[in-house]
Amino acid sequence: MRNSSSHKVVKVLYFIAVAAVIVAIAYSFKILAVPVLLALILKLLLDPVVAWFESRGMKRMNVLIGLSLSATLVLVVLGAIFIPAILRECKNIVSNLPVYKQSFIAAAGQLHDSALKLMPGVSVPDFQAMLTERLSKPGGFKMETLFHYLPDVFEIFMTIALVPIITFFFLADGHLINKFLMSLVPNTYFEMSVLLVNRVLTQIRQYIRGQMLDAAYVGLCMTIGLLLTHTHYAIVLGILSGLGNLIPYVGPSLGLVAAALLMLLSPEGLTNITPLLWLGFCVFLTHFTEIHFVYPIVVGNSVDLHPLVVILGVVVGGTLAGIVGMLLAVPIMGIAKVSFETVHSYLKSYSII
Amino acid sequence: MVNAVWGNIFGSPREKKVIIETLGQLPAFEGLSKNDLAQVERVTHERRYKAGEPVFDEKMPGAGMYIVLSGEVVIEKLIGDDNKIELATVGEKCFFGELALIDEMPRSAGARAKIDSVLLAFCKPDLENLLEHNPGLAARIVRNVAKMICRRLVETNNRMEALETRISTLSHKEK
Repeated sequence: MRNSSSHKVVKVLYFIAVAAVIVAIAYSFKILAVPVLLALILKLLLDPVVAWFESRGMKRMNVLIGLSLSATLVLVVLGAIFIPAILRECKNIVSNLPVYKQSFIAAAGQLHDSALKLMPGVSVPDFQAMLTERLSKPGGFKMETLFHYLPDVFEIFMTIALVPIITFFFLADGHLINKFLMSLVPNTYFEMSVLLVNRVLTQIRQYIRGQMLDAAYVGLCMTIGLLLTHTHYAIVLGILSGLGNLIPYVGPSLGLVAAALLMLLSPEGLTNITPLLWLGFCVFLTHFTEIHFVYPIVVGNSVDLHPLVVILGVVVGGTLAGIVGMLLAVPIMGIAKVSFETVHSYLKSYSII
Repeated sequence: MVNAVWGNIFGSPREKKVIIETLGQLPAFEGLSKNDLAQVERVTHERRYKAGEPVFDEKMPGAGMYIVLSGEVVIEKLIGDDNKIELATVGEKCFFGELALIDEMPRSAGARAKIDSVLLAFCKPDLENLLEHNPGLAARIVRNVAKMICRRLVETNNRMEALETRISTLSHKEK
């Protein structure tokens, strides 16, 4: 009896030590967190595709090799079409930043003049002079510094290079990881764990698949709409809208605000408001169809997070990992909520809690 | 190559080939190709039980069926509060708990390892995943399981009939 309880203590200490080592490794290699997470998401999305080919009698390894080659081909073709356009748009935004800066200062001057006309005799601060001083002061705010919040080139390169490799191994031998993890579960809790893990994974899979499809719909519609209305930087803004859609409450307006700012600050921005109206119509149409038709089908009974939780999560995600952290914060919170609810209800049904 | 890399980290104690061969000999996986059996093997879990250790308890939600790779398992039913009667002993290359593959209802009987045993668990969620992604394969397994349940039902009916005949003979003799 004493022997068995001391064995249990050793087991618990062993698992704590293993967990501590894993956390330490994960912390030391923070750079791996994003690629591993993205690879896990891709694995969940691609599993049904691989299973479909397997059901047609193909061997898993052959399916994976074929899938990798096709994915590379598709990415190369899409990259050849879109990457030059995206880079051109990004380059244009950067080279036009001084123009936008001047427009911004001029708009501040107009605002100052209008305020003086409206309220004669009232001392109105000179916005134009203040902005000019602030934007030209060494070490002061520069519009270019906005780009510093984007992940650096090394991180992007590492992620692009690692994600396909990790996904391939997850798809090829993910079952071994699953078997290994289940082998750590004591026999008493084995059946309960199998049912529980499956329920949680099903929920997570549905959530991720739904969110991805929804974001893809928004990104595609916005890009097409902006291209049809000859809006500048249509592809970049479309991608931004799709990615932003992953963040509830904040996201849908992200594309709109960015696009509106770029339009307003362009030299003809304040004189010609037609593109702005087209943009508003495009955003309205995209989100109207998304909310009423796409979201209920692809996401369905999704995780409803309280707006305050979303905002706090996005702030924490942004502080920890920049823009990537902001984008991943809500899906991670959604996964955590789904997992917690499922585990809680299941443990209750087993009368454990 | 891939398996060689991961096998060193997460390697399963029993050879994959042996498990696939064992699965192929079971009526539940009759008529499955090698590729199909490999798919089933991927989702099975090898479990080790000490003599006397419960595999599952009666009245608990069932997760799936077990195949005895080595050892022996006793199927037992609770009569009253404490009394347990042994319904059957399951030996090597036999299986039990297949009803849980069809429905997540509470187990109708408990199972306990008679001696140190190694079992292979094939669980309902994995069969459901197969149903979703590889319906052809899943349908063959479900049909085989249904056949087995039918056979066992016929056996139970025959036993019941024999028991009823015996009881009526005994009651006639008493009269």
